[in-house]
Amino acid sequence: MFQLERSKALVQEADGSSPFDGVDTHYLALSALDHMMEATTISMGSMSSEVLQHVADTAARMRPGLTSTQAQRVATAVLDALDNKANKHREFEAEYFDAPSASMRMFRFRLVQFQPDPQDVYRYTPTAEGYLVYLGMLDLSPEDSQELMEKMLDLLVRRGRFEAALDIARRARKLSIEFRQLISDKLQQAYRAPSSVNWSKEMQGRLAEARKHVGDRQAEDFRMEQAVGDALHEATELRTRENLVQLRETLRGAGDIRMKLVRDISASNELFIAAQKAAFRARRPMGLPDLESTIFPNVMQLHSPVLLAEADNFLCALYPPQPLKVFDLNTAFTILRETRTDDTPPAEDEGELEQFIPVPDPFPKALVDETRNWLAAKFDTDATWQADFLLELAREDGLSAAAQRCLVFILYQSFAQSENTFEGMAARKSGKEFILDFVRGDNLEFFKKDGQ
Amino acid sequence: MNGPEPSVKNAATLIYKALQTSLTTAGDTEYRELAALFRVDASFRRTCEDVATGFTLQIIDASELRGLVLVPESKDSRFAVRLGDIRAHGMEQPHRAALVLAHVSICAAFFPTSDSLDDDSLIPPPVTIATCRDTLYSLAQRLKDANPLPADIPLDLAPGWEAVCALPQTLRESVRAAPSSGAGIVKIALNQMVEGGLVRLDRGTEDDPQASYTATHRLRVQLREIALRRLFEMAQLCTARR
Repeated sequence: MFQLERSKALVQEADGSSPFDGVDTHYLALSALDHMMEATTISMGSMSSEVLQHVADTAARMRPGLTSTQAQRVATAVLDALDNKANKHREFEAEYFDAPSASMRMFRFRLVQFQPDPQDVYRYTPTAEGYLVYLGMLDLSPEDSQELMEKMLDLLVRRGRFEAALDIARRARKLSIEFRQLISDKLQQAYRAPSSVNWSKEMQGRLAEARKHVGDRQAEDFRMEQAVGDALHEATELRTRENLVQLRETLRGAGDIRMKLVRDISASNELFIAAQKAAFRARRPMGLPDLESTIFPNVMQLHSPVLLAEADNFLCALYPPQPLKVFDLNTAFTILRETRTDDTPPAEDEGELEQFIPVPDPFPKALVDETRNWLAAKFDTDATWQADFLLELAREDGLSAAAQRCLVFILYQSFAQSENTFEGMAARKSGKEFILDFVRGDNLEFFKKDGQ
Repeated sequence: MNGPEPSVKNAATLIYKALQTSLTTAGDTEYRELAALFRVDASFRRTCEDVATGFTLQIIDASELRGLVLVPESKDSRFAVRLGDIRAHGMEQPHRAALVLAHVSICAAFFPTSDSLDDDSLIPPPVTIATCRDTLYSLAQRLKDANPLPADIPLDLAPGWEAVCALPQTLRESVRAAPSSGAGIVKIALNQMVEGGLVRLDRGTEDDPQASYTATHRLRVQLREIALRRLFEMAQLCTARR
């Protein structure tokens, strides 16, 4: 907006001074501003005679045929235009549309100011707006002009012109803000219409520049602060000290703004990607009628057979792809035919081998024979024997425990006729149960068979 | 950062991951990186599309946030969900027609207008089973009132709205999703859509009649990119017959 105002203003000026054919009044005006600006680095600005001389010289160079009187007239006209003499040195006015308040607004500004310096010499200096015109017309990027400001500032501090330094420091700070604005504007544009900004080509370069700018400025600022600090140390006059303190504050303010700029720069890539993501979604509208009011009623009027025939077309589009089912016959067969490997892995520890110790025969042949002979001797002597009596007898006769147990087995073996080893003897159950310390059971009675 | 390479293997991996509808890029770094690669690398994108085409699939949406959205190319695809897959085996024909219409009514309950589908920033409010049922019945009733049918037409040959109107809206004691009532059929459709990742159970349990459902991004994309057009073609059949 500022820029626009500037150009408007200048067009007006150019029109106003058009009688001077062959002379680029635009250039002259800017040249005058340039001259004043340069002068501010040394003093508070340039005196009117200096400006006039400068402009006249430039005009003469531009058109060698110009007489010195003509050149002077051109110069006067240019300076007057800058100063808005035609309007009685009033401020320039421009209308513009203010979006937030939705109304036309008046913007008033001056390009140059004619002020007395401390020595009471009236000098021309460009105003803030003047600077903008100058920068805008030179198509100078803010960071370049800021560099310029810093240089001037440096010079002023070294020369001890603190008031002017403070003024310039403020402008430099303003430029930092502008630079930040530029980046965020670009980001905003990238965000709103990513296709209009080629990030890697355009913005990466700009961001790199911005980073460099911040780095350089930071170093420069540090140096400046140091210089101001030193000056503050040496300064004794109250007003000078006040100015110096303000200067330092302004410098720090600029530093803060640049910190924010750094943050903007580092976040900008992500912001841009987010913007692109949003853009990826941006499609042209489908152009289909509304589902509920138009499509659905029509679909519902379809006859069931048609509806069912067409349904799959819709359903397969509505549902995400389903993984293949296992119920497919081929797959089922494959699974069924698969031989399963053992689920549990074989134990790695195979254990230890132990020697097999055979259990000793509880009744060796000698023992069985001995017991048998003893029993056979008993059977020979009497006709009838009770099993419990025989066992008691065996204990009394001093048979070993093993022999007694063996006797039990022999007796019970003999109960079955088929296995009876004693000829002529038979056995029958004698009713009562007997209990001894090592055996219990139904009592048996052995007797001689009839006829023997 | 070394991202994945735009190889055929990676393209196939991406398709494989996209086939798993429950998988999200948030929980899977590889998926996220591959989806990002898909968006920036045109050659990788083409490879992915080739792989998908080979599988009779179609890529309709891609973002790092939500991964790829795939859809079967046609109903003949092995990946396609058909009516027979949705518990519709034993159903009678009118019930099956009602089931299809229930699907449409759910979509309509979420996205009644094309604008609501187009505008990504517009999140449709949750719907309940009752909302979908009412969408279905009110329209069916209106159509029934508008064109009275001859009384002797068999239900199998009647228009879809007749199939809906013939169903009781809801059964007193039916809690489970059964095909014998309108609410039951809507519930079958909703359950199936939950399974397919198209809607999400927002509040309450499945058996709760007050349960509300929200649409997922996938429902919006599938409807917008392909399903609505198919529906529109179906609707054209109706106007063509008249």
